[in-house]
Amino acid sequence: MIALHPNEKILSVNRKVWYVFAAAYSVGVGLMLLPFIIVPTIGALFPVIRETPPLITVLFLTSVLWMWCIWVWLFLSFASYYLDIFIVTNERVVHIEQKNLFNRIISEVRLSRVQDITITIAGFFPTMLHYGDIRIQTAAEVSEFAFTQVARPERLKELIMQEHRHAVSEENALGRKSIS
Amino acid sequence: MLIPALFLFIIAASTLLLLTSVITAHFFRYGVQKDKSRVIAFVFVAGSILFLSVSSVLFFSIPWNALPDLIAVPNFSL
Repeated sequence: MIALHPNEKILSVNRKVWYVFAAAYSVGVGLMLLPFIIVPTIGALFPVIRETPPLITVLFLTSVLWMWCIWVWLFLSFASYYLDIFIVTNERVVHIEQKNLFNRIISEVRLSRVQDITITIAGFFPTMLHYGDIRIQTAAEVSEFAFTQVARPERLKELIMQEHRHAVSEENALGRKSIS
Repeated sequence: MLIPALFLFIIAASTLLLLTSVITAHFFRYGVQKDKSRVIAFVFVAGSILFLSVSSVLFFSIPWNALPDLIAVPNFSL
């Protein structure tokens, strides 16, 4: 779980849109169901297998192991989708990039350091399905935050800009207090 | 024939179980507050346990030592 500061609240948790991965999941489910076609076909082609129960069991065992492999592969790819997160809190923006199972990049920027936000919705499908990329220019060491294929990027931009204004006004108020 | 088959089965099952535990740990450790990562992890583990139990039952129901006679594999041993 992400560690939050005291009084910090998560405002928005964003992942890539699920339909970007629909093709990969369909392939996975198709591969998982493949034994339901192959086993009867083998049975029809080789009657000796059909007439020998232990051989049918061997085929079933192979099928179950195959389905288990695809099950693990599906969740492996799902992990890299589900754990790739863009979080907006009332203090900062956190981008967690799960490249693969053992490659994870976490970068964050304080909202007051946000300078410009650019959203890109390019192409027929992104326009129709309301998803796109968001790029945040910052005054921090990491000069740009990019999160691709996020749903409703314009709403996310508005949220970040609104929280940025709050953060800047709070910092200014604190600055005035410390001077006086 | 039972020993090679058992050896292969143990290697396959343990590799898949190891991957299952690593992926589950990722979902538990790297989820965000109030998301569904724990539910997903439980579904994944439940599926893997189901596959493990079904494959174990199938494996032990196969008469491995009688298989070569059933499929008429020639015996080349001296």
